[in-house]
Amino acid sequence: MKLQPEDIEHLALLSRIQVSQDEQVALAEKIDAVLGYVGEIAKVDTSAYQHAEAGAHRNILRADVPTGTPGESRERILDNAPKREGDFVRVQQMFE
Amino acid sequence: MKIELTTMTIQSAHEALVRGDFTSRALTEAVLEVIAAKNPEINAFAEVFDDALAQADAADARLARGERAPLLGIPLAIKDNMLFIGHKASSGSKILEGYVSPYTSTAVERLLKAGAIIVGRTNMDEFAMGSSSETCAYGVVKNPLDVSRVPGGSSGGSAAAVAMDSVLGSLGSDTGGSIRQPAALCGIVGLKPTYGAVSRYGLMAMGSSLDQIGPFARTVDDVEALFSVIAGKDPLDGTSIEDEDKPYVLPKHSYRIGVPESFVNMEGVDDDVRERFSSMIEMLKNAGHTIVPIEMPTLPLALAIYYILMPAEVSSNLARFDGVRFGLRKEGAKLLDTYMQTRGEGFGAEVRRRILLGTYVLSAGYYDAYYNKAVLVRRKLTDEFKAILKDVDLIATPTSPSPAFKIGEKTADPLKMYLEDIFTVSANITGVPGISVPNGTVVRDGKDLPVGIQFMADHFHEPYLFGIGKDVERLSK
Repeated sequence: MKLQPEDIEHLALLSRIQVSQDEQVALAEKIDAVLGYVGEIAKVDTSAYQHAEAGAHRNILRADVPTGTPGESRERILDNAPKREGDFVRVQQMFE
Repeated sequence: MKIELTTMTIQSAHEALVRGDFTSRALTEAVLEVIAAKNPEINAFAEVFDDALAQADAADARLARGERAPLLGIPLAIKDNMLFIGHKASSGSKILEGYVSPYTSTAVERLLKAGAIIVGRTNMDEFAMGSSSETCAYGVVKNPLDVSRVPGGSSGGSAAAVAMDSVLGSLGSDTGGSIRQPAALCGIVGLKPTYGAVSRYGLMAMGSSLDQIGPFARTVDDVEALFSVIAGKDPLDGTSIEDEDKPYVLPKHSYRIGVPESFVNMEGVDDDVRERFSSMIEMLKNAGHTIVPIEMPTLPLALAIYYILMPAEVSSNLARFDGVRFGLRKEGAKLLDTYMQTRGEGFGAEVRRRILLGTYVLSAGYYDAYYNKAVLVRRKLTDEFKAILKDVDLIATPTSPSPAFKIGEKTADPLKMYLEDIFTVSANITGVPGISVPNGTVVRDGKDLPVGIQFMADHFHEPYLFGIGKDVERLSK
């Protein structure tokens, strides 16, 4: 099944990326080519492997205590915000 | 004493600093002069830090107090995706233009503690997505050995910085080959350490199950010195491994080296690159190593696995760039418009493509066919590596299928560009370490261009890589 520009438009909305109509056409072609290439893995026999095995992966937690990050980090983090108001990051209205 | 940067190594500079032949300030000034002369053309550096000489003075004070350490007073560079408090970091992207690091990454912190001078940050493919350093929002990086050609990527600036005889070493990050391939194309040594060997705290994430920080330098000895400083458990990175959980590994006198012959002989690898590889394998055999032909049927699929898992991880990791907390903001009438415009304008074409591809392979309806299937094939490949590495100590391949290519040659066709990583991605997929060491040159358009040989070993077997790497250096002389 070939990707259509409408499919790209939908993916772009899901990804929160504005994509022009011209670019939708180009992206459909290029992403299709990559999907054709990676689709090769469908032929691999993986019947010996099961999903949902936790394996070696586990949660790695540490105590919630200050790590000695320099005090200036807080100020620098706030300074990086495009819109700052005092000690807050200013955001747009989310609910209407 | 005249400071001759063209032949200097970290080791020889260290000896000269200890002898008092020159100071770290004089050495750093010499490096800054080279950067001022060459960077306008090469574009390896995004920025030279204004505190470089102050760092050098501090190192000189430590040297004067009698302190001795391999990196004390040595000028280095870091890739633009690593944080260094109070200094800019942009990951080669417009979306992070003007961003100032609020803290320091652990790898950089360890270099600073060891007394290294962080001279500047180097240009890279945007968010480390590319194999040529052409997707950098701050200009293309050129290969110092032939400025009509790419230095490789994504850590192309870090490789070019060493190859243009400025800094003596640098850090890069490697998600699919982004240290080893530029090292090969620039004729230097590059190491992708074992997954979990080096902390990624303060590294901008691309593919979290694949990314590793690693060093570039002129010699294997220097790469080893850099690695030993940056490696180790970090409580701030849950994926870094405790030292007691690592095997204790010493280099050997002779290795069993596996060569996946049908993989190396596949179509798309330049004949003379293959000849360089075969002739080094022959020399290693004559030097006492055992060469073992191996078959790894899943190995050629590593790139396909990679181009599913990596974009999937990219699409979630880059969700944080939303115009609210940091970086570029293109405000629209509503919040959704702000997101769409900020990310649409802030991300370059390759980043947009990979985020969309990742969103596709993770979307309902395609998740099982792509992402879940790739996870299973990854486990199959990992088992294949485990089985082979019980029989052999090392797996050898060329580092990349061709030498440095022309700027613009592969930008129109993403698949062609992606094939640059065919030999390197499997180390990221399986988490094993890989090193690229210079292995002679091939001729293109009348110019000698370097090629690399890659070795991979089992998890935490970096000492094997350093051992064989030094043999390759000795045999290349």
